[in-house]
Amino acid sequence: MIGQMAPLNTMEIGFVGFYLGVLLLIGLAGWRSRKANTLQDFYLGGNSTGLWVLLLTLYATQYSGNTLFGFTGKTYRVGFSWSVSIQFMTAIVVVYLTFAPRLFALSRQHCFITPADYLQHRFKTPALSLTASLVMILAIGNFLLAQMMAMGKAVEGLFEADPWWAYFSGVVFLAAIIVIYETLGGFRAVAWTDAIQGSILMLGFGALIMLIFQRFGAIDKATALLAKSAPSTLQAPDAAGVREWISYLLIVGIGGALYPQAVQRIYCARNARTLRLSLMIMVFLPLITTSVSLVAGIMGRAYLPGLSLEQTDSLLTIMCREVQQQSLLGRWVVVVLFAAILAAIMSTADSILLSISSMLTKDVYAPWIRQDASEADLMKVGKICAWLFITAGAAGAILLRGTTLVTLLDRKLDLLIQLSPAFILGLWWNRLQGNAVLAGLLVGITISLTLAFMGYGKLYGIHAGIYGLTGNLGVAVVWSFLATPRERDVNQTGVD
Amino acid sequence: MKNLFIYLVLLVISVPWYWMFIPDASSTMILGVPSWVVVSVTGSACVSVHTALILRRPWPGEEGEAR
Repeated sequence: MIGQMAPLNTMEIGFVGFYLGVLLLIGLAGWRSRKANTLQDFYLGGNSTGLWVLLLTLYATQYSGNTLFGFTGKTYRVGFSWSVSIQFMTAIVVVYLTFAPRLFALSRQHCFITPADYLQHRFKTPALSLTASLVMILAIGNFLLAQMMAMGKAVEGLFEADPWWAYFSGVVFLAAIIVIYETLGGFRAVAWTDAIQGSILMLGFGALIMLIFQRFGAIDKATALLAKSAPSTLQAPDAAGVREWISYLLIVGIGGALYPQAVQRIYCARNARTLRLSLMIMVFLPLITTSVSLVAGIMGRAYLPGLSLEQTDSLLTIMCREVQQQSLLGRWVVVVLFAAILAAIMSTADSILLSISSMLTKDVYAPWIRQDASEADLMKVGKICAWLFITAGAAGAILLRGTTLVTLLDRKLDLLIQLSPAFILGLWWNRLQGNAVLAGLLVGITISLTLAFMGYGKLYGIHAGIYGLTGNLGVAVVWSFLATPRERDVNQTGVD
Repeated sequence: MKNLFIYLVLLVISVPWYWMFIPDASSTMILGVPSWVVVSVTGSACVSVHTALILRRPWPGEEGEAR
């Protein structure tokens, strides 16, 4: 199979095994460092995350298997037009500016754990809080599935075994490691492993760009080749392409900032200064990291033409095989890169899993199923949920082997962007009412999913989620204007 | 409002909508890549710098925080 790297030897597999073993030890360290047996401590690490851990956990959470596999593959298919990825990853941090300062202050005053805790505080509409939580679980559950599929793809080329069997083993084995360290150490384990994974990821991006230039030469040669073989990959977007560009900026910029695991990272910061400085550094990372995926995709298109749609999402492993065959140094660079790929995928997956577990426990089980549950009971339920969810995710990933990664990315963001009136507008406009937000959310979801399932994931270059958001905002704003303001809606937006 | 205006200007520059009106835009290279890509990525870098400058200012209530 063309997507296979040359199989790693025993020493190289030992290195990767050592790295995975360290993750489990960090889980143990997180368990030993717990301060209290509470949801706040387990899911947010006691709100004491410092600057570098916060930065690296934000980074490792935002940069996923999609960044490495999906973005490289998409660049291969569309060319330089995918430089929109640098802009939409930057847009995520810009969107944080619109709500993170106020949300952080409120989270400190009212001890929020899940995103729906803010919604309940602001709108006092239980149906809205429940619906929003379920939407987030559905959306990032989809994302977890994408990460697990990426795990399988990463391992698929590593062994000489049958590709399906390698994919199956990769999904099951890595999922087991994630759920074990997470069950042991909760948020601390996730954040600390993210810090290591974020560091390896940066090292991996550096290794990737180095080995690409070493193997294929400077980018000007690649563009010269593409000018002859695939000139469309060099062209600036046409009118439809520009519409799609702006649509990507909106849907990833807004939707990416509203990942529940990202919202929870706003809550977990030690203080506002720590969060502010983390975002200040974070805003430069797309220029360094996303551009590496762009260069990899362009080089791949120039020097490895003719890949099928499915093979383009495995472009990185194909390039790794090219480099591995060059020298011993090349082999070890690929080992570091492989660890970085695993880091990118696992760090996103663990954050999603912890977030889902917290929402199922705090937003669904506690208020709707068992109101008198103690913190210890809720912790137990949360851990059981994590195990059940990752088992379902692994099964889904195995059954859906072969679906392209960017397709999955689009559906998730169509849903998450529908939460922006509640989180962004809700922090600035007192008159926005809970029932109006709920109605808008339902309208937005209905429009987005109907369009998507009718085959219009993008209509005239605009994502289905943007059409949904237009309807959503219209309903929420008009309803709130027409309704009589309730006493409880006054002064709910900002910090007192 | 000033920040919003700066973001809008940077958006207009960074989104490569105007290159379709410039003949041979894709064949003009800067640093080995098409010129429109360089302008777009530079615009994105300016957005990062502007955002970092905004983030230099303390948030409401931050002054009172224990360091």
